[in-house]
Amino acid sequence: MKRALVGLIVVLVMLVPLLMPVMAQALTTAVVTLNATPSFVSISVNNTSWNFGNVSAGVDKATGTGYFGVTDTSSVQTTNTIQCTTVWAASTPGGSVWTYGAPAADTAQLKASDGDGAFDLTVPSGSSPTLHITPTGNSNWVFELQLDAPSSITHGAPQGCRVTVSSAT
Amino acid sequence: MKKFMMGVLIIGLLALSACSFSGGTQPIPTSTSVIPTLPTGYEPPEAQTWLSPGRVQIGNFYPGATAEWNILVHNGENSCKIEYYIGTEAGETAGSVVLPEGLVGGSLSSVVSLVSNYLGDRPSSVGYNVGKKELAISGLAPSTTRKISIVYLSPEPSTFSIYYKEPDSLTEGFSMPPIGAKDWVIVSDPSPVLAPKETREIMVSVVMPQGATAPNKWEFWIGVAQASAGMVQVELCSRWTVEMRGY
Repeated sequence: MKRALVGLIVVLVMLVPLLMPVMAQALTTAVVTLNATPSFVSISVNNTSWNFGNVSAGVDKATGTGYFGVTDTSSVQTTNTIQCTTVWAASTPGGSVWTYGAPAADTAQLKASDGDGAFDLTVPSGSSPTLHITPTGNSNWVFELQLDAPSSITHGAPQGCRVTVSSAT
Repeated sequence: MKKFMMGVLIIGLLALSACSFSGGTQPIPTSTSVIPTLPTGYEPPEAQTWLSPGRVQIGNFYPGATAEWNILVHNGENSCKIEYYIGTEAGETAGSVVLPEGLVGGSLSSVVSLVSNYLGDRPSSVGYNVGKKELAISGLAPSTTRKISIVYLSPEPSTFSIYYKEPDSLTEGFSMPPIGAKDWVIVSDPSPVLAPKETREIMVSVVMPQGATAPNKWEFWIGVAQASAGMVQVELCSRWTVEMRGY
């Protein structure tokens, strides 16, 4: 009996270092869980530039309908938003810069639409409204942009801005 | 002696069982790469840039805990588009342009499209000087200036930005991330440089400080953008939903 007890204790002592990491690993999955469904998000835009040319006060300019073609090869449904991430900047050094916003004196903004030429979505600079939702993955789509021109222009330097199209599942 | 040994045995067993309940309050970081395994026809496209996975779910999270996951970022083909104005003199039907980036393999097959806005032109690429990155074009009408648009594939690597992002939209039942959550998210390589068609694993760690508070269910995004000089930039996003312990 005594030998058996001694043997048990020895075995127990030997098992402790072996079992501890296993227990710790088991506890890891019990404490914090991490899961991900195999999926990928993939879009690209065929046109990354648009030169809206000379702008007259109060006269809006637009790309053609479907000017920007989006190749969406995602494996899942995607929600695609649009935002003006870099507002107006003069492309000549020292040039006066427009304000980004609803048309006013030296103030202009962009509008977008989802392939129908309606330009019914204002492209904001501080948030990202939904431009297009793909019903399933692997579905190409188009969009277009319109410049809402300033009501009056005193800053004649060429202006540029940057738009970001974000895609998420 | 026998009672003493029995006592030692019982204490030992109790200690072991106690480990299984009270030990490991700090989770060991876990890290798993997700190689998309999808039905035929939905394999990640080699020629396109993509991000995987689209969604990561963290459960039983709590202040002091760490969660880690490798996202995959793939660089597609480095497709470049440039526009040049080329003028031809009387009797001249050819011209050339210097490309800002070289052609893949120095091969004319890397020219994807060559288009003129002058209807009288029939432009085609007929030669390429690797050292000068100069593309020779024939089929131009004499005595005309036209805009030539060229799309081509370049072997140059691309720089990406990988960053924490507040959600544009929320998964139902989840809240915006708590103030300060941006500092809890660590991207191991926030500016990777990827060759065309290269896939890279990037570790994203969420380290919630002790004493920090968060909604029961909250969400943040990881954004991936390719450096671009164009007016329109594309951003790919991965949703990360976090459920705190007890919910």
